[in-house]
Amino acid sequence: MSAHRYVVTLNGEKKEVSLSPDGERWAISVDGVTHTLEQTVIERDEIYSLIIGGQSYMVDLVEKNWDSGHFTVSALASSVDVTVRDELEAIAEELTGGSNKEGLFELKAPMPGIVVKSLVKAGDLVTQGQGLVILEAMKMQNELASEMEGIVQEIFVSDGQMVETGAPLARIIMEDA
Amino acid sequence: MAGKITKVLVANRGEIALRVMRALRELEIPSVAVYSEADREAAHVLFANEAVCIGPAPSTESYLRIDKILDAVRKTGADAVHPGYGFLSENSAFARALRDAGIGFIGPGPEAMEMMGNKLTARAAMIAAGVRVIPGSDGALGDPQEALRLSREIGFPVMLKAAAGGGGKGMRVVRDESEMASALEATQAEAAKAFADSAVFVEKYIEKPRHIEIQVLADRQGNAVYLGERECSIQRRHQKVVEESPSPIVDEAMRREMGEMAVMVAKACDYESAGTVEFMVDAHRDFYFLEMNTRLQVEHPVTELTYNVDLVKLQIAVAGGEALPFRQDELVPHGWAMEFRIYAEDPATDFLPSTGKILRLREPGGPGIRHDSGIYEKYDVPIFYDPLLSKLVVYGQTRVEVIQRARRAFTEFVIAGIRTNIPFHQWLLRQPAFEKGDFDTHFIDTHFRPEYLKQDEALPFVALAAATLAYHQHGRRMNFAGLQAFSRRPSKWKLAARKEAVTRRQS
Repeated sequence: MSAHRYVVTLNGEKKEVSLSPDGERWAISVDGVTHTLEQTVIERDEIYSLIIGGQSYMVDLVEKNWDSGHFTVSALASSVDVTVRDELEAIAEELTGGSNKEGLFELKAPMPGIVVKSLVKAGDLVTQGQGLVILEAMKMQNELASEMEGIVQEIFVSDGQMVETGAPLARIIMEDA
Repeated sequence: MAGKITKVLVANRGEIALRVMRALRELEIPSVAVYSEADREAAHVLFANEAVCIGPAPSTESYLRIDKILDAVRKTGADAVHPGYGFLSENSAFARALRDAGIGFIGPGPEAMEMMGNKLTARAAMIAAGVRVIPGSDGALGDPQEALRLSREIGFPVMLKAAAGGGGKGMRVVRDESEMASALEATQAEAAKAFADSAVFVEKYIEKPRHIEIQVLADRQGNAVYLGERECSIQRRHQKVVEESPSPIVDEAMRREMGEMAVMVAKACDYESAGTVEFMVDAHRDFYFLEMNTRLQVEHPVTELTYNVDLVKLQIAVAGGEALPFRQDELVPHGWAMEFRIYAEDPATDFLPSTGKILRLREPGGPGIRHDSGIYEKYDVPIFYDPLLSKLVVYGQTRVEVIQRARRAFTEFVIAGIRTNIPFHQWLLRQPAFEKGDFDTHFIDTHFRPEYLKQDEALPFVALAAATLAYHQHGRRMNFAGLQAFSRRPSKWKLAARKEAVTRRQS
């Protein structure tokens, strides 16, 4: 049977991966180096036992998005984010290019919390590292800062508002944008 | 109240509420949970025999509301309350309100709380009782001149502290005379803002300080004993992270000396129940009384393991009027214990709090492991409360064995879906200075950097393989399901006929 090709991104690095069944096992090649792998599914799409080159690993697929191929994988007392794309999809995405977000910084809530207050208002000039919003979670106040210098285009939240993870809080645009 | 306790309301949440309820269940005393609207699914509510909602999510509207807790006591017919730690545990008005209502309080009386609640009155009382305190002013400072005069007497560096402060807030180190005026003004302003009390005092600043505390137990009959020390110097922003018993620097003679002083403190305030006397220990192993915590401590399990006692059950017995079941000379520690606080904080991003659903929980087990927890798999950690999720407590014959066991336990421990400080503990357990027991309260600030956190080098490949397999197998199933759906799809002719039939019936 022929190999299936994927492009896998992990810790910011892209790797070419090919996967092919090898009897009861799998042969997996990463950037040309092949390993033999035995997979036992303990719970489908959730918990695997993998034996790779004789080493035993218990693996949890903690988060997964089948459309985008984003996974959070937990193993060896730690976890890591992984993105898997079909080789053809990856090529297509490369050709069309990701959306161009340069000249723009959108501050998103890193955790659910309550907006204590906004430190800036629309039209303000801000520097890189300047605090934009104070978000409180678990009795701790966290000052969330701008990752770039620019102008505050909009503050999306009001003081006292509850927000979920990923909620947009503020948008900074480049001064001449 | 007098006589046997038959039902206990636990005025707390999280791991400590569960800890108390476990003791109650062993004693076959029914437990009552109180909970805020955000805590309907919290572990302590699921565990309790009865549960009463006491208000909205913010603790000022629920767990800190004396009136609502009293209502819950009346409604359920509880005859005693255990306050846990934090919230109302050291609130004398709460203890007094319960006493007035004829309800038992599993803890000390309001008089002891009041005496120890204010650092200045506590200090004055302790000096009068002959307890050694850190050299400093015996009252609130007035003007900078007075502060300077006293500081010269004590010797720089000195520490300015808010009288009503705690948890590391309202403190400032002053290294020389030129800094005094501005530091005093800033500390007073901070104290006024944070505690509505601008009183500030000055004391000697201890270099290389260790924080070591003594567990005491006292009954109504006037017996008081100490149960050794807990070393609590591994702290971050004045919050304890790891505690152990015994302390690497305390020997038998020092333990007896500190223990006897702690018992003196307890007797000076006519203490009842479990309490903790905190000491600051300097580089010469000289120790000074700091304050007394008039409640059960977060880190009480390390004492339970080394002294083979159940402090919560002892608290309940004492509150029921029983005398302590042992004398001082019967209390001999064995082995070593360490507690690792598991916080919902990400050490890789400056300990930013992390909340959300616990998607996977696999707790460690095996020899020497105790896990006191307030979480479960699929539990959604709310944003309103303390980030302490659980405590991993490890016991062994020696400190070396405890460290080996703790390292092993953390390889088994999976909490996924939210970030925790487990990677920090794994780092700490590999630090030579920590292994040698050579540290002070500044250890984390001076030694830890997020970039030191390391993942197992096999992780990237293992994760890559698992994710690729999952994605591949899921894709194959979807393709197969898609093909089947296609073959079963009714023809357009059939669809048109059905639609016509429906329209006709409606007309």
